[in-house]
Amino acid sequence: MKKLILILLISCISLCGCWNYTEIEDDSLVSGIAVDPGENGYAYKLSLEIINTPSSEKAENQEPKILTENGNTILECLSQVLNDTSRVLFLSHCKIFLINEEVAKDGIQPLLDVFLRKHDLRLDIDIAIVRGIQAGELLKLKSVIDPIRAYEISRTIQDSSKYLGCAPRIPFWKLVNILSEEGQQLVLPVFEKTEESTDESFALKECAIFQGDRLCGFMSSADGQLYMLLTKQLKETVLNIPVGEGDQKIVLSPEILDYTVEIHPEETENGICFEIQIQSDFVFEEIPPEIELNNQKNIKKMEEQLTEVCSQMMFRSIKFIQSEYQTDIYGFGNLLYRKENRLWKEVGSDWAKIFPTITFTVDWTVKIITNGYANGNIQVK
Amino acid sequence: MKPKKQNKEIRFFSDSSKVLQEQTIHPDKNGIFDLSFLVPTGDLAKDKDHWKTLFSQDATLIDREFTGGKGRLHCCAFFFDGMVKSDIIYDSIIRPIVTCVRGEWFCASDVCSEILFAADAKTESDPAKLTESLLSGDTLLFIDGFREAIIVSSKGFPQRSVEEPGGETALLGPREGFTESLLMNVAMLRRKLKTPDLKIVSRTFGSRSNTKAFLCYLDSLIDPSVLDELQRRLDKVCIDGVLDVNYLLEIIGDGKYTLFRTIGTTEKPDSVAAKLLEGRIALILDGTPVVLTVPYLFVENFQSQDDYYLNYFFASIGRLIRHFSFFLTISIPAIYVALVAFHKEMISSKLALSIAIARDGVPFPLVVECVLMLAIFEILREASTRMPNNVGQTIGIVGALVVGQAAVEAKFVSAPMLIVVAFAGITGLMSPKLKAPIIACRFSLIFLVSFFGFYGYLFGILFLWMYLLSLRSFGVSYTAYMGALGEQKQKDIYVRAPWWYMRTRPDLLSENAIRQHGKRKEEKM
Repeated sequence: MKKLILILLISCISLCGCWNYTEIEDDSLVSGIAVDPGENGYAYKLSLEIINTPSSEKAENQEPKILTENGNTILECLSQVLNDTSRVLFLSHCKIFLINEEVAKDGIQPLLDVFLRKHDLRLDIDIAIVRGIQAGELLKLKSVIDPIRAYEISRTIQDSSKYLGCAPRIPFWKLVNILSEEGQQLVLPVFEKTEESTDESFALKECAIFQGDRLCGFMSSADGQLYMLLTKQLKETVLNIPVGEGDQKIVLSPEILDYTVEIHPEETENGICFEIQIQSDFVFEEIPPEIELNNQKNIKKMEEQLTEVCSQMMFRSIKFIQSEYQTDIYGFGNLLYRKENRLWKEVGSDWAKIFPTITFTVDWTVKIITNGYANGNIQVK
Repeated sequence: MKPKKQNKEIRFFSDSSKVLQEQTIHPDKNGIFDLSFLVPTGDLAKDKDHWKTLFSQDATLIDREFTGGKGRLHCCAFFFDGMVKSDIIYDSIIRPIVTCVRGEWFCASDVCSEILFAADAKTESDPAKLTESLLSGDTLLFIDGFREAIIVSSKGFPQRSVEEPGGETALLGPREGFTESLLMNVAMLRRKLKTPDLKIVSRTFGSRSNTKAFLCYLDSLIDPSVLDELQRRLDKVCIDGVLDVNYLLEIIGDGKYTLFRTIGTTEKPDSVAAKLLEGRIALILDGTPVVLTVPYLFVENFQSQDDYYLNYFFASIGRLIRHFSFFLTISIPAIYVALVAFHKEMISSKLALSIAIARDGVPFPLVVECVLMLAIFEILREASTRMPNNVGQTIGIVGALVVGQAAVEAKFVSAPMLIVVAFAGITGLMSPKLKAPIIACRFSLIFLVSFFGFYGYLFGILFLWMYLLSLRSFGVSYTAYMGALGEQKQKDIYVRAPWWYMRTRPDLLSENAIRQHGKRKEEKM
């Protein structure tokens, strides 16, 4: 009897086969997915970047392969790709999802469902918009360092959002959160083709602005930095601040070390008003020769000057977005929803109409922490 | 004439052997002799005859007849050539008797107390004891007219000198190791524990080998129930010969087929002394330098006697590494297979890519590759243990070169697998006492993992823990203290606390748990 049970147990284990067992070299690792408008009447054209696993370690063998298929849904495209390769697609190491601007203008909602449901697609995949070129073509351009384009793009977004703060890093889960949030609009990084000497390459340029799930415009890197600051996503950055008028105009590039942002919504007779208060610590690591920052008096003066300039700069930036695109990327509506819920209940349903009419004030206080070098500027005699 | 004489001689020879064969005494089925005919009769010629019958066809038995006491003492000394020190026999038996001139002797004990110079001599008439003494290297002295024999201790067989044991080398601390001589081993132990509390109880094992053994323990520290249990199990041993403690270990150990040792073995007297001081019991067997200690806990596999001689911080790091490396050595190949074959999404992209590149072109499936490499590692290990020392190094080089570089270059195996197997091998060498369970666990985990991935791994580890928790060593839970709460309980498990902190003995082993009453000087009482 004991033997019988033992035999049954062993056969239970060994006869069921190897559940999910696959050899790693028999899978093709997909590193990036790109979506373009479809050809031949199809809705989408999907391009997959597949990492090449060469037996020899020569550089030309490491070039990833691009597979392209048309289809009416993302999953249809993915399954069509299986016909193009001898190996099974492995999507868990996919790091980037690129969306062509034309596709994004029609709304990105239909593209996203597959990420939520398909088990091997990860929720931390980064999402970016491609402008001026087909997203699939972007993956074929030469990359600067990593031969795998998708990983290069993913690293660029990560580093840029961390050290420069021009564009936010939006993984899939965050994107879904923003889309389903009250009074909050989406901003995504944008990639473009560039000319690096003779080679054609790509780089992160500007940000894409969304109204709902539809792309509605672009904003510059400078506006992107201020957007990141206002939404407290900024970690560190170098700002470009022009000071002075006419011939006296100088561009300063202070680094932001630490900052706080407080926004207070208020109901006035002119509609809803937002009081924006920013306090920031600046560090100078480069000072133009015209400016002396070696004593407290000068520093105080500079602080006052910067306080005024920065406040204006921020005001203009928000005003520009408000009037040009009428989309609430800063999440003012969301703030209202959280802080003044009673008010939000009244205005929330047509916030898109109310947002262009709101007023706001910006009060940016600048404090210079250090000028980096105590002995003043270099004296040329 | 000449040929006839030759024939006669041959006939005589064959005749005598025939006579001897007829007189040979055979033991019963269990190897026990009927020795009643050996009781000393008082007639020297008869006694001599009896003994020669018992040891017929034994070329090494020497019977030395001599007369002393002015012709009044006819003696015969029996001893085995090579097992005695002839100096002792000459100086303390033959010379005193032969040169003795005065005195009246009415019984053997008179001779014993008045004439003999021997350090250890006693009279005895029980044939079984006489035989045992003779066989263990003593000299039997028969004197005509006395119905008792005298046993003179004259043991002097060749023995190894005290050396450092090869299996347990120490960085610091005592370096001596046990030898094959029982008495020498006991002497080494007693030198470390000079107290009448040290009890040494004699036992004999093996119906044909009649191997002597001593049970050693500190009477006031042990748990009597453990001693009772040990005695009871030893009583049940019924085997013809015991050449090493492992014979006993497997017979008296807990669990019929358990891979994990439930009885400790060591070759170091200091280690045994330390274990006796914690309330354990030691069994020293004649003829082997290995000593058994009971009860034995799982954590003792990771404890080294060195830990107590080195700085406590350094020792603790070493012990933590040993604990962790047991987990690593059974898990690493299984986890690697699970990750690469089942859960590729759990490895970072760069690593997945480099593994895929390395695997490309390897003809074997991952599991087969893993099992093959582990098997080759075990083969190399076994070969280097069995080979003579000077050849062992060659095996190392050949193994490293052939299995390592060449196999990777020829795409027989992938480089990451080689690293995994090598790492599993090295971490496995850290706890040599767990060699058998490590191999078993490692391969069964790979087996489970190759069917179920991490799910199987989890089951394997759970089963292993359940199994370990179910084990007992002489009534003490095998995994005792591993999950115990309390600073005094954890002081010597995963780390080794400073000596001033070790105030108590393990309370599951010892009746008398207080080890130190005082405190360190600086601390206020």
